[in-house]
Amino acid sequence: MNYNENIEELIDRYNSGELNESERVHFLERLQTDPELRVQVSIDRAITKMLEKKELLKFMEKISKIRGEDYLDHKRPNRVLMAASILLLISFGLFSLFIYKWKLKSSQNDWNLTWKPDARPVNLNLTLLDQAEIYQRFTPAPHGIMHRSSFLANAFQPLVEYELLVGSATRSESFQLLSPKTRISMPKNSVISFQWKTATEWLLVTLEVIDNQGVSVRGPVPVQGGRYQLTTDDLGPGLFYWRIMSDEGLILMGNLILY
Amino acid sequence: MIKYVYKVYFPVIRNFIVRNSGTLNDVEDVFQDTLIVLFDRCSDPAFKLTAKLSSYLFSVSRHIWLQRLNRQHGLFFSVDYEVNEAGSEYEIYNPDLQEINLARYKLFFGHYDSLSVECKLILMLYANEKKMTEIAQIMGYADDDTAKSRKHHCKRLFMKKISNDPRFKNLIEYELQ
Repeated sequence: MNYNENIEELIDRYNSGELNESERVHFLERLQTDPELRVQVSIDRAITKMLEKKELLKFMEKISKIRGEDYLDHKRPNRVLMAASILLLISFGLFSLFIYKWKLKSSQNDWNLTWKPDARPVNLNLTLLDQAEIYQRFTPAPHGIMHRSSFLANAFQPLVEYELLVGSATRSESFQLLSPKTRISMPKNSVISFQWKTATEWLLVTLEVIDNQGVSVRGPVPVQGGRYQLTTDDLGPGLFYWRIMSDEGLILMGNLILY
Repeated sequence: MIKYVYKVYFPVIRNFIVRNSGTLNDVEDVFQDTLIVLFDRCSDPAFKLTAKLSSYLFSVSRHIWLQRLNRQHGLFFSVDYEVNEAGSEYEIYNPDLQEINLARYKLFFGHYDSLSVECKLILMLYANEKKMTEIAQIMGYADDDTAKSRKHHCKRLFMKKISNDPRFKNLIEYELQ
């Protein structure tokens, strides 16, 4: 089966239940005779299901990054080294105890102290509070309570759709941003100097500022020549996104925190 | 926080899996899957963690690992839950998060992650029922048609990557058995 746009659209519409009765009957007949189409339908359904879970995707992105990190040291501990370390620790402990007792003895007459080991047990298990914290952090706040993000003021809550694009030049690779950085924090009323280079010197682009609700608060302003001074006196404290676009679409997006 | 969970609990799961014919790569896979299950369960407001987190993670990891051994090697282990304390046994309630579905989910995610940022975002917006007009507006496209053709392109690319993956063929074959 050649996988062309018509088929893709049919699969899309079939899985969203948008086919009319005759299209559906025809499609079902085809499904019975075409095993490859059945596989494509099942992939389409599964990827839609996966993509619907935005929070889980973000979580998976995080854990897939952790996987490559160094601290997950897989080397089995060297037993000789471990034994040596334990011996060293015990010797150090005994030596410290000896010094401590010796000092205590010498000062006992003056201060009338008696030696007591620290009576507090070391509890290696998680306390209920720890567990509650872990639970809260893993819970994507069904009602907006108890989640980390709920502690952020509304104006500073990130907008997932835009956050994913920050820092990524998605259309034009010849575009080079000189200033500012793609993520910046500035005091309110600052003037932000935008400067960039493009392959075509006089490429006309637009610059737009959007708030964290996705509403455009400035522009799109046409800019030619690679420089623009953005004043922020009319923008309140909060999280904003700026994007530079050409006729073909988005070139670069960044975020801006005004405090 | 995830790093903390890794640091504290990863060694326990590693010891169990390595002792039960797993490699270190298996350990990482299973631990990731366990965290996905935990995340998914925590998304359900009705879920209450009644046992220690360590017992929960261990129980889920063991369940996943035994299921994986079943699938990959045809070894039929009974998933016995030795109960050390009340409430420490857990099923993976959500059928989406059964071992085979987790494997498929992760395979899909791997290919999704390798797409361009543009494609990832378009597909996510589309799956979350954004209209083409909204997608065009967010992505800065000239019109709906451009958004539609970009979506087609990205979806085709994504599906092609999945279909060509030999691991996907194995999963499909196992399901058809």
